[in-house]
Amino acid sequence: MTTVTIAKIGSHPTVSYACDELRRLLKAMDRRLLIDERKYSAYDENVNNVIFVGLSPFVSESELDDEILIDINDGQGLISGANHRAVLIAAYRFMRELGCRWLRPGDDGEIIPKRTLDKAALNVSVRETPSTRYRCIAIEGASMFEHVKNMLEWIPRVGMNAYYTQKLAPMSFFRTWYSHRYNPFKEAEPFEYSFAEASNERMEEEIAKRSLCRFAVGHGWTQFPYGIMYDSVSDINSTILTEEYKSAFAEINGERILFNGKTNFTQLCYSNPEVRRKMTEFTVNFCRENPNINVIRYILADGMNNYCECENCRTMRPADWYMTLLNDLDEGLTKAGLDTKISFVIYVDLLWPPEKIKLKNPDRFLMNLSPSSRTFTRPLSQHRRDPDTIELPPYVQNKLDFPRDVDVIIAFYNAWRRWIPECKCVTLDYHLMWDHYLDPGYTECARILHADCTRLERLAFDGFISCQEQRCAYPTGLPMFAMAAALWDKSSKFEDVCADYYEAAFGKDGEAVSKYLSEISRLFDPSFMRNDHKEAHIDVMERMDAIDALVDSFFVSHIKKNKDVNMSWTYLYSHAKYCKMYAELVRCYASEDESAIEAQTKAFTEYHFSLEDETHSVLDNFFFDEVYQRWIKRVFANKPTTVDF
Amino acid sequence: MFTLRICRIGSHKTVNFAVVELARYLKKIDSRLPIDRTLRQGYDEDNSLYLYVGLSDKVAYNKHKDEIFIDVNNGVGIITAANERGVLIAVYRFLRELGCRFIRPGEDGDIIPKRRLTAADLTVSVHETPSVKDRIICIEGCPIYEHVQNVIDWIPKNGMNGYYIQYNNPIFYPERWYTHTYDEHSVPEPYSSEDSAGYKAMLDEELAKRSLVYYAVGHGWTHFPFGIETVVKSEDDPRLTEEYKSYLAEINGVRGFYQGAHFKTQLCYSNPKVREIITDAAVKYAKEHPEVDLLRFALGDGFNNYCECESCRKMRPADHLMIILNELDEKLTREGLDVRVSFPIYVDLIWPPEKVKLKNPARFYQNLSPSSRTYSKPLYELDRDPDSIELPPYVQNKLTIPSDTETLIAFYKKWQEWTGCECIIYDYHLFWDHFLDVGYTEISKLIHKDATGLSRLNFVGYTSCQPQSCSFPTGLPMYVMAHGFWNKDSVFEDVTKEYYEAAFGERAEEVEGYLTELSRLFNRAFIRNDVTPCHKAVTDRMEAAIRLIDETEAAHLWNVGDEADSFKYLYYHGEYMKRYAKLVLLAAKPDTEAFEAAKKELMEYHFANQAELHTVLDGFSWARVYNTMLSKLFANEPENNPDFL
Repeated sequence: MTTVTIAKIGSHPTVSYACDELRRLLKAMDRRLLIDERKYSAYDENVNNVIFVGLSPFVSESELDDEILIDINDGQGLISGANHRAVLIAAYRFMRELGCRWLRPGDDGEIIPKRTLDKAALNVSVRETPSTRYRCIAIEGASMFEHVKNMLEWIPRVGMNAYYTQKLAPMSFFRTWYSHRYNPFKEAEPFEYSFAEASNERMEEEIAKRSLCRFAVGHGWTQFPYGIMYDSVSDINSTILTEEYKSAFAEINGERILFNGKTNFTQLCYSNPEVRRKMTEFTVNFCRENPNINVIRYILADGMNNYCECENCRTMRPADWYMTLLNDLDEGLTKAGLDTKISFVIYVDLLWPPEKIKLKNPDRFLMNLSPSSRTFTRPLSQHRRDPDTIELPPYVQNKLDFPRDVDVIIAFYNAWRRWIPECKCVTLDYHLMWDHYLDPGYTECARILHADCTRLERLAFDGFISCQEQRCAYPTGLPMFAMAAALWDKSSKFEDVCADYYEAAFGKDGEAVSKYLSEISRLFDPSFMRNDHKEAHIDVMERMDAIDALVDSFFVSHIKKNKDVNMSWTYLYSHAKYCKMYAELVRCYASEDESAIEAQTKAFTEYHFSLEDETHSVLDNFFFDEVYQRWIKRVFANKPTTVDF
Repeated sequence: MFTLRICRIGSHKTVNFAVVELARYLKKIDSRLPIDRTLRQGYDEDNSLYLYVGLSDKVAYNKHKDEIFIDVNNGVGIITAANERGVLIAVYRFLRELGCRFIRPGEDGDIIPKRRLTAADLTVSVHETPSVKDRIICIEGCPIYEHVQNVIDWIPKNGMNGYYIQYNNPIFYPERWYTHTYDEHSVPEPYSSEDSAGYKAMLDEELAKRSLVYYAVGHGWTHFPFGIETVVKSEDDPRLTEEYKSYLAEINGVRGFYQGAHFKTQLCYSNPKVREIITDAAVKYAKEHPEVDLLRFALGDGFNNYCECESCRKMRPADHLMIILNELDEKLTREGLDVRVSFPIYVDLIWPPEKVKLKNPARFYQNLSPSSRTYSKPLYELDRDPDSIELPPYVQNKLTIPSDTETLIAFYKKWQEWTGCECIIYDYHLFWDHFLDVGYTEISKLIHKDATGLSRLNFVGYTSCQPQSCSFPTGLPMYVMAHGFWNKDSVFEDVTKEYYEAAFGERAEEVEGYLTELSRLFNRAFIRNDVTPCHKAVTDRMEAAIRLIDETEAAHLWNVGDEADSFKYLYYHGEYMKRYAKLVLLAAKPDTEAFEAAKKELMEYHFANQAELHTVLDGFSWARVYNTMLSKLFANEPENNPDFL
C-alpha cells in the first residue's frame, strides 16, 4: 500500500484547491492509494516523505510569468510555481505527466487512466516557463454558468492562465442560452438581468479560486457613463437616453444619431472634452471598485465606419482621439493611485494607426490586435509579402474597407508598433468564434490555431486571447487542446499534439479517427467554405458525395461499435449524421434548388438541436446555426469561376 | 431537457459548498443535465425561476438546531435550514430523496442512481428537525487525513452535525498509522508533532467548510499547559521540569507518572497554582480557537490515579473538578468568551461531587462517558429502577467501575441532580465492541436503540468515540446510528432494508440473512466473555460459520469487481472470518502452538490486505481488540451454558 502525503504550504485558497485537485485525481487514478494531507507554513527541507505543494524558495515569485517546478522522486518532493496560479498549473502538469488528459471542458473531457501508483511511479521532473505570458479565453456564444465553469476549470488544467469576462455582466451570452433562439423544439425561458449580474459574481469566485488572470469589460465605455450598463438601447425615444448622452453621439452625415440604431454601435464625439472627462471618470471609478481585475479592456463602440465627423473630430484620426482618451485615463488612474493595466484595441477603423498623439505612459497599456476581418486559411505570421513593404490603404473616414489578407493586417499592426514601440502587445483572435464551424472535421482549424499560437513571438505578441464559444469541442476538443499546448510551448509539434489527443480520446483507434477527421476536413475544405476560393459546382457535389461514403464506411468499421465506450466516441456517433446532413446542405446550395435548400436547412437545424441534450457541453447550437446559414449563402452567392480545387 | 437554475443565497462558504455538492451529485445522477448557477443576497419567494439554496425566512435562524426545510416543485423552490450547516444537511437530504445513499465514509460509499432527470423528478418536500441536537463523531483509531476527511465528509450526508478532534495536538492517531503498531512486517516511519499540527490544520479547514459543530481537546489539560504534547519516553526528558513534577498527583506517597504514562497522570488539583495554570491554558486555547464550539475539559486518563495528598483527600475528585470548572467559567466570562465547556462523568468521576456546586451550569455540558458499560443491551433498557440502587461507596483509588447500565444510570442521575446541566453522552459502541459482532447486525440494533432512546435519559447529544474506518463488513452501524439521531421514531428494520438495498441491490435480503447468521454464530456475548459456553457448543458454531462462508463463496455471491465494493468487502470479510473461526476452534483446545500459529496467520492476513480495506477497517484498532479479546477467550473453565445456543 502506498501512502502519499500532500503537504500544503500556507493557506492560499488556490494552493488549497491545487491540493484538493491532486488528491481527487490521484484517487481517481488509483483508488487504493492512501493520501495523507498536512499544512506547513513554509517549505521545510527537513521534512521528508511528503509532496510539498505551494510557493517555495526554488522558484522566483512572479505575478505574470507562470514558471513551474515539479521535482518528485519516489513520491516525495515539491510541486511549486512562481505564483499561486502557477502552483495549480504545476499540480495539473504533474497529473498530465502521470497520464491524465483534459480533452475538452466538462467532466466528460477528463481522461484519468486507472493504474496502480506506487512510489516508483511517482517520479516527475519538470521546470518550465510558458512561451506566452497571457494565455486567455474570452466568453462568447450562448452560455450559462455551467459552460463557463467548465471552461474555468479547464484553463489551468491545460496550462492556460486567464479568462476574459466581456462586458459588465454576461447578459447577452446567458440570455441567448435561455432564449433558445433558432431551436425549433424549445420555447424561450424567462431571463432576468439580475441573474446575469449575479452570475458575474459567481464567475469572479471561480476565477479567484484559481487565481486566474482576469481580463474584463471591452466594449461599453461609450454607454456606461450615461447609465446604460447592460443591453444596448435601440429606441431613440427611450427615456434612458438622456439629452446629454444624445448630444455626445458621433455626428454622421450631419446628425448625431444612434448608429445602426443601437447604442453599442454608436461612437461618441471624442473631441468633446466633457465626453472624455465623463468616460475617464467612470472608468477610474470602475477600476477603483474592481481591484481584482488584472487587465481592463478599454474599447470604444463596436461596429465600423461610425466615427464622428464633426469639425473638431475630423482634425485627427480616431486612433489619435483614442490615444488622447487613453492619456486622460492614465492620468486619472495615476492620480487615483491605481496600477490597473489597460488594454486598447487595434480593431476595424482603429487599424489605421495614430498620426499625431503618442501615449505618455506606455507601461500602463497592452496593445491588442483584434484581426476580426482576417482569413483563417493561413496563419497570421505566414506571409506571402513582407508586411513592411506594403503600402497601407489610405484612411478615409467612415469609408473604410477592412483587410482580409493577413499580410496587410500585420502591416497595420507593425505601423502601430512603430508608433508605440514600448508597448507590449497581445492578440485577441477568433479562430473558434465562427470559422471553426466551417471545418466539421476540426483538424484544419486546429492546425491553423496551433500554428498561430506557436508563432506569437515572431509577431512580438506577449499573449493570446481566444474569443470563442465556451462550447466548441464537436467532434473533438483538438483545436482548444492544440491551442493550449502551443501557448505553453512554442516548440510543440502539431503532429505530436494530435497523436496525444487522439490516443487519449480514442485509444488504439486514435490514428484511424485522426485520419477520418482529417479527411472530413479536407473534403469540406474550410478555405472553400469561408469563400477564399471558388470552385465548380460539380466538384463540390463530388466532394460532398465523398463525405457520405467516408462517413458510412467509418461508421460501420469504427464508430458504431465504439459509441458507448466514452463520450468522445458518442460525440463522433452523432457527428457522423451531422456531417452527412451538412454535406447535403452544401449540395443543395450547389444545386441552387431553393425548395431543397429550405427543406434541408430545416432538417439540419432540427437534427442538431435534437442532439442538444447530449451535446450542449460541446456544441453551441445557436452559434453554429447562425454561422453555417450565413456562410453557406455567401459561398454560393457568386457563380464559381475556377475548377481548381 | 430543462436547465436547472440554482440560486445560492448569500456568500457563506458552507452554503457555497452545499451548492457545489448539489450540482456535483445531480451531475452524477444525470451528467447531461444543464445546471446554471447564480446568487442573490436574499430569498425571493415570488420569483419562481430558481432552486434557491441558503438561509431564508422560511426557517428561524438557530445556531444549534438543524431544522431543515425543502420545498421543491419541478426543479424550483427552496432548500433551506436554521443555519448554514443545516443547509448543507438539507442539500444531502434532497439528494437522498432523489435516491442517493451514503452507506459508508469514503467515495466508494456513495450510491448514486444514474438516470435522466426531468423537472418533475426534482420535486421534494421535507420539513424536519433532528431528534438529537449534537450528533458527533470523535477521532479514534489510527487515521491519517484521508480517513478523517472521509468521515467529516460523510457526517452531514447522513444528517449528523459535529466532529470531535481529541487533544490539542492529535498526534496519537496518525502516529499509530506511521509507526505500524501491531504490524510486524512494516518499518515504523518518522512522524513529528509538527506533522500532526499540520494534519489538524487541514482537518480544521474541512470542518469549517461544512460549519460542523467543532468539539475539541478532552484529555491533555494535565500536560500540554506544561509543554508536553508528545509521549514522554524517559525521565530525563528535558520537558519534565521540577515544577511540573511537583504538580503531579501523589500516589502512595510519591509524585510521579502513573503507570509511566504522562497522559494517565492526574495533578494535585487542590494546589491553586495547578488550577491556575490549567485554567489559564484553557482560556488561552478558547481565545485562540474561536472556531471551537464545544471545549471538552477532561482531566488525566486512566483510573484510580487521583492525588492522595492531604489537601486533595478532603474532597472527591468530582468536587475538585467542580472547583476547576468554576474558576474556568469565571475567567472565560471575564474574557467575554461564550464557548461551551463539556466535562466528563468518567471512571473515578462517576462518583458525583458532594461539596462544590457549579456556579454557572449554562456554561457547561455534563458528559456521561460510560466506558465500562456492557453493550449487551441499550442504556435505557433498565432491569432495575436506578433510583432504588444504592451507589457503591467512593474509596479513593480503590474503585471498581460498574459495567451494569442500571448502576451507571444511577450515578448519572445523581450528577444530573447535583449540577442541573444539559447532558450529552460520549459512547463507545464502535470503539471496540463492534469488532466482536462479526456480522455487524447485533451492534447495529443496539446502537440504533441507544440513538433513538437518548431523550429517555435526557441526553441532548451523542459523541461516537470510534475508529474512523469501521464499515467492515458493512457501514450499517454508522448508518443506523445517524438515522437514529435524526429521527427517534425511525424503525430499525426500515433503515436496515434501505441500507442493504442500496449496498447490495437485489441480493439485499440474501446478504442480510448471511450476516445475521454470522452474527448469531459468533455470538458476541461469548466473544466478549459475557457468557462462557462449553467447548462443544463453540466448536459446532465455528464449524457452522466456516461452512456458511464456504457455501456462500461457492455460490458466487460475491462479485469482487471494482464496481461492487460492498460485495468486495464481504468477500474479504468471509476470508477473515474463516481464519477467525479456526482460531476460536483452536482456542478451545489445549494446543498453544497451533493457536499462536493461527493467530499469527490471521494477523498477517489482516495487515496484508490493508491496502484494500483501510477505509473500512482500522488496522490498529482491530488488531488491538482481537489481541485483547483472544487472550480472554476460554480464560475460565467453560460451562455448559444453554443460553449460548
